[in-house]
Amino acid sequence: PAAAAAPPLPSDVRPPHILVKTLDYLIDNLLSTLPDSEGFLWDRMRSIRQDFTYQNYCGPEAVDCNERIVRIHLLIIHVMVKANVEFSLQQELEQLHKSLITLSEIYDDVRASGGSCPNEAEFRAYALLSKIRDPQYDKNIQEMPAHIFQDSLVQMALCFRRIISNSNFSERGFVRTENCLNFYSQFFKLIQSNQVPFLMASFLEIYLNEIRFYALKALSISMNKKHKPIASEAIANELMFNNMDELMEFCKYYSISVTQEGVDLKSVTAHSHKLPEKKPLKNFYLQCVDDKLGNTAYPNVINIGKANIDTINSRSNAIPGAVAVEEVTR
Amino acid sequence: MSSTTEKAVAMSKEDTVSKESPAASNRKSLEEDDEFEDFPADQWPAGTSLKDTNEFHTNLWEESWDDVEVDDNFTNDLRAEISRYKQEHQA
Amino acid sequence: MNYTLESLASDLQAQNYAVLSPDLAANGTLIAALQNSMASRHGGTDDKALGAFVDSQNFHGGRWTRFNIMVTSFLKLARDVNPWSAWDSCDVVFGFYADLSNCLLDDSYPCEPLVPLFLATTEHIIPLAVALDAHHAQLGLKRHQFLSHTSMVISKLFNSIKANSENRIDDFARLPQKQQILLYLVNRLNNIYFRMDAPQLCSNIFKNFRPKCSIPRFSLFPLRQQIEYRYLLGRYYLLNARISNAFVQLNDAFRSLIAVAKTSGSSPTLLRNVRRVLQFLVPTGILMGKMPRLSVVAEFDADLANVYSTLQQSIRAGNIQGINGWLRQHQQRLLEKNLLLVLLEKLPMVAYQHLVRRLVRDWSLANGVNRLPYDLVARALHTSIGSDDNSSTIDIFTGIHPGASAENVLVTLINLGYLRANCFPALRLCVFKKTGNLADILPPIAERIVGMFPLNSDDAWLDS
Repeated sequence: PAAAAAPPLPSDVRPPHILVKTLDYLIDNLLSTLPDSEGFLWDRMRSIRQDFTYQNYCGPEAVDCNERIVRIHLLIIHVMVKANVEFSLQQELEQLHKSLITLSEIYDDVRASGGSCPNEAEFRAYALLSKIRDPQYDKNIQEMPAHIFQDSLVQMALCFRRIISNSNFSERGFVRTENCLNFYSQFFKLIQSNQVPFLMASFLEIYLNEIRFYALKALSISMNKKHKPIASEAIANELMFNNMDELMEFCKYYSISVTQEGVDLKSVTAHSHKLPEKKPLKNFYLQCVDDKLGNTAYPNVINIGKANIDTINSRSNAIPGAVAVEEVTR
Repeated sequence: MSSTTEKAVAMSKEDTVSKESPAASNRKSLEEDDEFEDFPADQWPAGTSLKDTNEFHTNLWEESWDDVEVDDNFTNDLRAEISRYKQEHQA
Repeated sequence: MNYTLESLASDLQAQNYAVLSPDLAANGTLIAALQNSMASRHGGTDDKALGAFVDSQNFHGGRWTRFNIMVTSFLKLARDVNPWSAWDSCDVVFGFYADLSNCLLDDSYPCEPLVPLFLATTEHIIPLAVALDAHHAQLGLKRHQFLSHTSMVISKLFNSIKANSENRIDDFARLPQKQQILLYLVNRLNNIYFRMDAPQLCSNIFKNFRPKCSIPRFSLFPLRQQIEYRYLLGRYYLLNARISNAFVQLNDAFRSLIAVAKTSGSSPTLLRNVRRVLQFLVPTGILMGKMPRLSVVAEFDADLANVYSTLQQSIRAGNIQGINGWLRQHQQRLLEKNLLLVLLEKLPMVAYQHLVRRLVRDWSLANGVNRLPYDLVARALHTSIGSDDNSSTIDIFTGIHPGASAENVLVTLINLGYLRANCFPALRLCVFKKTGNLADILPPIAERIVGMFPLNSDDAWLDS
């Protein structure tokens, strides 16, 4: 329903256990029809989240559904880019962020009432990657209990945040900070590690364009004005383009000239990865990330993690005074 | 002083709440607390501002950028590595 | 002591508002006497009777409704307060505080004389809120519920303050009372937001402080409030990883505290404040590429000086493993101060500059050449970062440093301006200008930062 529409009648809102079944159904029967079913899945998942919101329900079923919905969005990001099918990344990310915020609020409340959620660390890690340059997330994670902060996914997410930090990064509303690392070479090295799971790597792929742009920008600044172009193969290799066509498409977008000799880094003139006069560059994927997925059936990517039922302190199922989660997300 | 008054004064004591619920308080000690405490600082001496107080300036930062020789294991390892490189590339 | 509703009314007519203090330590005798006298009052003491009594006094000609509500609220407090339980009394106490603050919102009423009462009450309320919040779990409340409520009361008052733009007054004592407490309110609010783990809320207060201010120069505010403001602003910047802005504010707070100590004498509270500032200032300075004089730090905090001496040595040596070991060793303490991640991200380039400096000095300049081969840098990185073992678990100490890419480290140093040189990727060489002066090749980091990261111009007036 549209944002302004009246809330549905109570009789039209599905109870939590039915919402779990609905999601089960989507996972078992519709994931395999991706990329075609992306729009439908997006809509159905949003509707599941809305039904939880309408009844102000924060119990284990809500945690379970939001967690799996986040994983589905992460899967979809990679699948759609790989299939090279037109879709709105921005809408996908919007729902993903909302689910992550809902989860973070429930996790906080559950902890405050003495309970714990078994998959919290995984989703705290995704949250760190969702606003990868927002210092507020560093503050929050430093205040989490040790078992969350020390969790390997959280630690990896914290690494990626440092690695892509960049004192040249420029975007409206973003304040540049000192001494940033811009370790693009380490980004490409780390993302190949088999310790970085598929879903996390898939999420990181959305930052590929900016990482590659600022890598070239930094290289260009560091080089002598008279330096010859760099062999295209070397650039493609360093920045892990899957093939030369991708590199050409990338250079064309940023008006970087490519000759027989190679990529002429002197022609990197843009100051921001966002070009105001152009629509955003299409997203790329990494073969090494696709290899992580391999032939795994999609439901097996989603239905991982520990069951939430019975692990959450029963007191927390109805949190007193809890505000409708959707409202709190601004 | 009426007995109510005594009680009233008692309430102002910090531990009133803890009496109610004796569970361990998680308050930090004074030293650990990051919040500023009140301290006497009415004004600078007449006619001065911070800029004029350089005579009181305690220099917290090293002025010079000169190298201070470090002599630890790491530095020795690094020296060794540099001279190995030298030898290899002179040969 | 004999004190009745009528005594209270005549005190209020005389504008003796201190009698309205809810602080039992200061005003307990009077409140107890009032409570006693109310117990035997003809005409009753239910809410309605108290309201009727207050109305009948015709305070301020009966036109100031909020004043009457506040006085009635105080009478309820005197009637119902339970000296044995802050929890039982919190409704009346916090209710009175909100009603008192409401009186101050509209400047068309004679609210000036109430300001001292508001200050005293605020000083009483905040510790009470902190104490109650410490037991939120047992009381079945949300975290920081009382502090959050208190902050809303104070911010309403803060929002009601407007600068008198035509007539800027240069004499603090001649300012309206609400203007005089402006910086006090700002600091109180910001402290509460930090305590509530919501320092992002400070941003609005920092932004709106100056536009609300009728006083032309910051230095006219009480000195201790100026220092506290800078301390809070510095910590806020640090949480947002804005190093140079944090440094300027914290360093200024430190210098001011020292100047106060040397002119007005030091006190244990002042010295504790110096230590608070140093906790944040020392690491911030190090991130600026500055080296603290640890002998000076030790005068105030021997432990802190000791902790940072090891780090300082690793940075000077260009030893990334040493830095990581230090971060690991002090992880808990750094997490508590929200310092771990900012150091993890912003220390390495300072250390890498020192590392490259050694290579330039001991290899390039020693050999009389103006170049640095990638291979040599790669070896130095290997020594500094340690083994590049693919099987080791990825964590914040093993996952960040690019042992394999000398070029990337050099590129970042050049981009930050910490190394004046050019990379030649095809030749796997870095070339700098022909000079024997190291500082020309590797300029001081602090100078580069000042050049690249202009300070927030909104703060310039703090130096006025």
